[in-house]
Amino acid sequence: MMPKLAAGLMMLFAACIALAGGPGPRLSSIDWSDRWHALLLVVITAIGISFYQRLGFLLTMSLLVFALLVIVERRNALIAAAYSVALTLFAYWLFGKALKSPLERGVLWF
Amino acid sequence: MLWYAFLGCLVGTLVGMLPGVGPLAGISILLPLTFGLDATRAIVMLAGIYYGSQYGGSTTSILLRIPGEAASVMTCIDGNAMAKKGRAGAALCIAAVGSFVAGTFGVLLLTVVAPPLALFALGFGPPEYTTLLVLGLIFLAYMSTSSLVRTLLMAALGLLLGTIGIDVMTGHFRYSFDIAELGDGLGIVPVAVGLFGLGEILSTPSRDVPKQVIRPRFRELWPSRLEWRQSAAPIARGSLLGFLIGIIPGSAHIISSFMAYALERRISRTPEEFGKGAVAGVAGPESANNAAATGAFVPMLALGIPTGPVTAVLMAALLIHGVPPGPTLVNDHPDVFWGFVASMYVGNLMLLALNLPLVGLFVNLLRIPYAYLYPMIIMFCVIGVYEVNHSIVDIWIMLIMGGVGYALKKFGFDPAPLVLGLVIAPIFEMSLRQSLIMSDGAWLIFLQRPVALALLALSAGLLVLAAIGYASRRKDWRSKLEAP
Repeated sequence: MMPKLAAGLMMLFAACIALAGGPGPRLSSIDWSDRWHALLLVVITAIGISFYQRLGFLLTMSLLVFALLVIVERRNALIAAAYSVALTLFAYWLFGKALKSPLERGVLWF
Repeated sequence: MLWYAFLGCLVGTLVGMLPGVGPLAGISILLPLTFGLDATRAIVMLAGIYYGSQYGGSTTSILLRIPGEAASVMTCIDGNAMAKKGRAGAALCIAAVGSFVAGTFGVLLLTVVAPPLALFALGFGPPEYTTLLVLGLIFLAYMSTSSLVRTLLMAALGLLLGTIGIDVMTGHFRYSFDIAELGDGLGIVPVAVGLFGLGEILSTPSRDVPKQVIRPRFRELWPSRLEWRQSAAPIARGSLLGFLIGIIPGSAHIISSFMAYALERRISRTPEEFGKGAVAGVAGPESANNAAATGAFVPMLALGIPTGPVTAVLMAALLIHGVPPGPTLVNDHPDVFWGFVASMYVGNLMLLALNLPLVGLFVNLLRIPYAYLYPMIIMFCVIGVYEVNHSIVDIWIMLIMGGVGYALKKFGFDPAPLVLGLVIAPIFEMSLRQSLIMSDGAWLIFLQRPVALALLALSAGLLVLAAIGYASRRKDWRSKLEAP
């Protein structure tokens, strides 16, 4: 009953929006200029997620941050590598050691 | 306990300052860190993040003219104008003192109002509770800065998504597509982090933070006697207005700051000063948004009804820790309720001590380029979501919700009611079905009980008011909110 009720309400409200949508801004007026940036972020994060359990926290997160900085932001690879490793090690210490939150080990032994 | 309140306040200040990380994303990401704590310490820390972010948001607004979070938009106008006149320190001090006074005033009222309200609500049965939730959703839509129908559509989508998982009455799996992890339903954390954390990052093209950060000196922090006089009454008005709006469901802390600004401008003898560095334009909105943040805890703690997405996530946090918020909370878990209230008194004092002397240190964080900041936020999002259930499915849900959040933002839909709908879906479904069982399936039960009938009448009244407003195309205060 509840799913039908919620879906019915959604259809009702969607119909209201469609009926009253005439004077609103056109769909073509929406600025999608950042779509490639957003898509690239999603794709790189998705690749990172798919390797998360296999590679583990340290490797996946270092590579994820590095990829975001180099591929999306076009930053210097050396600085990006140093930053991504330092950031991941800090997060590993903070979550894994200080807060004792179990992180995925993956292929590494620690 | 004090340590967790301090940690929450510190993280909340940072969350409020950094553009792109709102209190909701901050709380959601850090929620798993509280799993090792007891319920009282967990809620003290998470609430500290919430009201701490209201303080932190003012710093970027005043010094950079960038609101760290939505409730600080109005502080940008006069706060930054004061900073450009060389009064950055005074603006920060007035914002911090106003926030402190309003926060403390809000906690005092919370202490007085919540227990009797909870006692009254103990007499509620399932029909009253169902209609109270309906009223909450309609109030949320009516008070929303977005359109009423769009808000209700998002709330209905949240209710629909909330039906995923095991049916609590029959034990059947619903819409789980043979994915075992969906048996427990869509988690609040992956959905909230996806919509508000990742969604915000996706829709924020990378840009460097402007270099012109105004750095106040410590000795410039103390306002002049005239500035104190000009801020006293707006702080008092903002505190009361903010608390009252905070109790009402909706984006209370955002609306309250807009309304406080409008009120101060309306009653000012020098309205032409607004926009050019009026002290009341900083004191009023800053006090209001902090009082509203505290007021929002009243329905959450006393009735078990979240008034917005942040309180919804806080409510989810309490449930995860085995403490059901609602009328029974004060009696069944007095340690949680009073521990939480006590921590807020201390927390407001801590924030005052944190925000003024350390403002120079916090300002340095704003110099980190956004390109280096957001990969860190994405990493924290992944850690935060994964640590809840150690489920990779949750991270995929977060990523999908990130895409949904991005699209919703493009099409002008506010994702907050979706989270609210998702949180209240199980409570709403349970009380609705219990009501119908009580009446052998007759929907008339909602009209036969006086309290339920009154709540439904109030809901209908709000819908009629909204319809009249739409029909006459009157420019009401909501249309003015969308302008900035």
